[in-house]
Amino acid sequence: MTQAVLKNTVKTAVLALDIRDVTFSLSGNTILKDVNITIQQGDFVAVIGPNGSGKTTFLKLILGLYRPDKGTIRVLGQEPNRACSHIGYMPQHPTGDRIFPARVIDVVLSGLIAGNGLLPSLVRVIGPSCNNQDKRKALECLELMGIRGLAKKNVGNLSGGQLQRVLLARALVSNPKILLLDEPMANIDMGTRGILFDLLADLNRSMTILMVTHDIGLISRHIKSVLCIGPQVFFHEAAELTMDMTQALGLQGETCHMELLGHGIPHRVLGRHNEMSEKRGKMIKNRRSDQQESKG
Amino acid sequence: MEQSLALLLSYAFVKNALAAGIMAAIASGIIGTLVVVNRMVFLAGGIAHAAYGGIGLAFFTGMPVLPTVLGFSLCSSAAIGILTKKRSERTDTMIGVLWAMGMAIGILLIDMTPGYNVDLMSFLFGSILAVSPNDLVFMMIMDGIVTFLVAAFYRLLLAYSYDREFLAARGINTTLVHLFLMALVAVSVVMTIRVVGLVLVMALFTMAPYLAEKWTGTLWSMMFTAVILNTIFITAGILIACVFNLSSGATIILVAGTFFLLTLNLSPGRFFMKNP
Repeated sequence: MTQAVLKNTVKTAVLALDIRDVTFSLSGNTILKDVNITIQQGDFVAVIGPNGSGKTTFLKLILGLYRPDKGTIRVLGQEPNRACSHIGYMPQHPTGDRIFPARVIDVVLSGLIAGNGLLPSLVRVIGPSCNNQDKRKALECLELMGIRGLAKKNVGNLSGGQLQRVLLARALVSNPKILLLDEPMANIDMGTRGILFDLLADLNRSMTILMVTHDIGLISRHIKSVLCIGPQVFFHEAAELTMDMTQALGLQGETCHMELLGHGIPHRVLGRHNEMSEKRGKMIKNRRSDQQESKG
Repeated sequence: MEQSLALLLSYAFVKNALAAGIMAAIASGIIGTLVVVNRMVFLAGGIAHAAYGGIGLAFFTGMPVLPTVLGFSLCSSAAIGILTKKRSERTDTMIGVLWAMGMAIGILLIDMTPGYNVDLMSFLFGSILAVSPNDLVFMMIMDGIVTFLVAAFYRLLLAYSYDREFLAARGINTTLVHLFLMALVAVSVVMTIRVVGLVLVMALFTMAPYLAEKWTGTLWSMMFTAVILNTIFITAGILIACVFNLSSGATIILVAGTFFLLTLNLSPGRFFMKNP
């Protein structure tokens, strides 16, 4: 059943994300300034930054929910509005339980609805019920999340963690090429986190993943690169696990310091951003596996 | 009692009233459900009250009332829809503005209409006992359209109601869906005005769906239950109003309200829902 979700083949020719000179402000606050980022297909990016730094806004720009004031965004070589049927999106979990008269499977099935920015593709929308193939896909995704048993349950009666897994299933059901996750692990217990990270790593073989996270401890061994969001955006093309991100997260300035955490040998430090941008383009990833082994 | 009921049902105007009541119950049950789950009760109230402008327009121009009010309400719902979408943080303020403006337009147009119209009160508080066969045909067509559209776009409306931002992220123009929903509300409000009047319309759009939501687990079963409840409220209200010679609109609302308050704390859901 993993195979069913992993049907996409990774094309390396088209960039997953190509952001050029993007500036964006929301109600007077400049959130992104002259941002240039390219993300290859197949990457697994952790998006980090302090509260209110615009991580969620960044995802919404990619989804075409906001338009940049300046610059261009290309997702899989297309305008965000055109590409959105290839994106699976998991929004930040709304706080508090929400009463709503729908079953879990109905919510997952809504992830199959797609449009071109104006009209929905009518096949997925017309008619009161879904075809069996779609239902099977939805059940497979719920099974991947380990909550197939909840399919007929009311979404209002779920716990925070269960709802989060439902929303993840909804993001996956369309078998997207890019997966945008906004704090996917926020309400999920430690045991399940490990399982879900392994699942994401599995999915990463066929889809690019961008994951917003607050919790630096969660940056798992599967992550390939790190994106720091402030008014400027820094892209580290390597995942460094033992960095003092709490300090980075506390900083509001234009810089993003990632420093050494004193355990784990060898220590790994991300350089200052200016150094990193010089190194950009070099593949540091191959060092990663050796380091992980020595870390044990 | 049985005799007087049988006698009542032999009158054509009572039969017409009951037929109109059942049709209003269908529209208000289905669309009321969408209004409640989308938290747009105030919005629907705005459309209902702004419809008074349409009544004024019909009297002023001498055009047939229901089609004129429908046209006016579709325009005002589109205006409310566009204004509330652009300034989503001040939605309720925008509704308040259009609510009052619609009614003011109606009052001025009626001021400018020569002669005095006694019939006016019936649009404010319902005049189900004066339903004409033309009204019935009009309501039947509107009911058909509303039911068909909701069934056809059920999944889209469900997804929109649950998470409109996610739907926008899937490339759907949610402003269009919003306007579509507003138009459905406008059509249903106009149908229900005949039965309980525009001041009392919101009762049928809120009470039955609210009770239905507690007892059911899916959107369609909530709609179905709300339709049944509204049918019971309206039928009982009309019959009681006829027997005791009361205003039908107010009687319907009080029947519904009494039932609502009595059952508020009951949860029959325990008996027919698997996972209460």
